[in-house]
Amino acid sequence: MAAASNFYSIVAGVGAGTGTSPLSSLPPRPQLTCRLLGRSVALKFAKAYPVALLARKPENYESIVSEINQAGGQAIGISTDVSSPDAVRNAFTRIEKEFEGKKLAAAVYNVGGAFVRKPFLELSLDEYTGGYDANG
Amino acid sequence: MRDVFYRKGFFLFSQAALPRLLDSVGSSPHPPSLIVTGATASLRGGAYLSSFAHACAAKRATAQSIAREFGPKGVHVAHVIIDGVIDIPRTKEYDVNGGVEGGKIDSDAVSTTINAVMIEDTVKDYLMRC
Repeated sequence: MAAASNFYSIVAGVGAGTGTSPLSSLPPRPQLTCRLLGRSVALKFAKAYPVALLARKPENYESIVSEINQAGGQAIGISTDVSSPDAVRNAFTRIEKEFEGKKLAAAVYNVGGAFVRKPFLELSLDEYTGGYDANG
Repeated sequence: MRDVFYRKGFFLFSQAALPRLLDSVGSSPHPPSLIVTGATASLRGGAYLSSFAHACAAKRATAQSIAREFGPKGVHVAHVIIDGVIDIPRTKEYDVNGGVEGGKIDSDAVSTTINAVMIEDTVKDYLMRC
């Protein structure tokens, strides 16, 4: 992979897909497929640019970061809850520090958010608004 | 537990990314791009998915609005709808489209498409038509 570039990219919402979900009895789960898509996009972008991967938990980006760096690309992972203003600000500050002098070429927002699959009458207000926290 | 101060992720991410993308206009090899992934629920709210569907619809509408504001300034904003279940080991047991071959989506095909969307250069033409 060639990552010598004056630009960088960001993929928010990646995952290795190794986690378990309390909703496993209710397929399909867009949340999981979203995360794996993030991996695929990150690997693709890493061929052209250094890439910053954002995910809530380190285990969701660690293997992808290793895969890219071992293949000769450049990747960093940052634990970020994108629904928190401070977390997003800190992530972008860190990215600019890591990729100093480079400019942003592409930003991908692939965050699934809290995924709830439930009969409408059983939804709590928190569950209803939960998906919006990350998606909206 | 969710924190009461949580805010909306796509809004926060876009507000952070867009000024940086604007700064790359004119110097990046392709139009600087903000690409958002959506789902079937972006356009169609399925049964039991009201929480997911309204969030997806909001994200799509926001992306469309941002596209019209930043497209003329040289930033390419695209909302990509992943209209189905992606074929990965964990979805192997899911009975999608009657289990027929090709009934699920290849994740590499999606990322290739996203890459193609990023490097395409017809943003202004598209905006003029819609």
